[in-house]
Amino acid sequence: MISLPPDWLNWTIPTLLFLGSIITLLTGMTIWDAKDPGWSTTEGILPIATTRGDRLFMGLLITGCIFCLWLYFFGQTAVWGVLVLGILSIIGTINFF
Amino acid sequence: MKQRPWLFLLPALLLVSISAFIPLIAVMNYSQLTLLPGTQPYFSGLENFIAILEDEAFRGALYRQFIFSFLVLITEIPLGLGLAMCMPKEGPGVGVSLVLLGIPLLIPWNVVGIIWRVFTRSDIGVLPAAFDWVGYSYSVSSSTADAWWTVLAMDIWHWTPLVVLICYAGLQAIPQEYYMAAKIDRASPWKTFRYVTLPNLRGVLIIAVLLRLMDSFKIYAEPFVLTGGGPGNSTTFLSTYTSRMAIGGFQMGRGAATSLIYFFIVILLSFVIYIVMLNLGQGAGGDK
Repeated sequence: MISLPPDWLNWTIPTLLFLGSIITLLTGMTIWDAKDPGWSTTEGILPIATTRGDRLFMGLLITGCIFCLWLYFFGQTAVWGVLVLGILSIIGTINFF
Repeated sequence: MKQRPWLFLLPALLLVSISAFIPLIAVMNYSQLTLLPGTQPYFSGLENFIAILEDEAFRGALYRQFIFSFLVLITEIPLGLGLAMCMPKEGPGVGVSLVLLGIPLLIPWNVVGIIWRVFTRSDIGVLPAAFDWVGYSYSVSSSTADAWWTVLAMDIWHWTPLVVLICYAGLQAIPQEYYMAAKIDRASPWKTFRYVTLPNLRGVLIIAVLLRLMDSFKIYAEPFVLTGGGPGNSTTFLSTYTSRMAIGGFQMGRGAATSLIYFFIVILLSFVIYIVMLNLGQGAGGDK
């Protein structure tokens, strides 16, 4: 726990890191979109048309699923592996889905 | 000025951030803490999440929730669509139908539970008396099957009118020329429904399915008042489990972790259903 106002929020480092990552991702996607607009839909592995933002959202959902499954099957064993898998899944989803 | 729409949106965005994001951040923080009454909170990392995922009662509640939401969707959506198609298109019948359909929607959740509690009471309830008359011993407090179908019937009674109203609005918006063209082509009623009505209702059906999915996942007051989650845990759904954990069990940290997993499941399911429905029937008479 870290001491940040307001006290009742009981800030933790993982929450700050998570929110920071999401804000960085959204800012990065906004800058990417401004430089190279990605509103046009494309078809990848899935038989559906998706925008870059859709694929980022899918990547985050897949990462959440991997996180829950990892915790269920392996507990806290090598939990940093989830981070690597999550980053790979987001990159893979944005590029190939 | 290109940024002007953002300025108009700013008050709403600020309001949403205060009412939605800050509580969500609080829940995220609490989910990593052990919060017990009368003690200082301390950081416990992922322990709450692991404890929840390994909890048999959580998996049971999740399993029941999936079955309940599935039954709600496969019952309420076709029933609502069918009723909307049967409703009068013009004349005084329209107003009467809309008012009658609106009545269940105006009743608060806990009052619906109380109404059905009275219906199902063994001493004065109409349902036990009716079943007794046909020789069936009906009891929501001792029979799992009775409790289940009563909770389901209560939800259908309460929320099908919403689906009817949404579908009715969608049906009214379909241009009559489409039906006239289908008539000229001598399309059968089924083909008219399949290739004219359904594709044009896709948008409203997506809204109806998503609303009912999310609402059915949030069901709390009605089964809580009617069955209290029983008999045993047979009608304990995710919301009841979460509130028992956080409030009844005084385990705010675990309650927060359950809430986050619960929230994630609702987002995941809603997104999958949205994407599937959006792409369903594309190129098979469906419109883009």
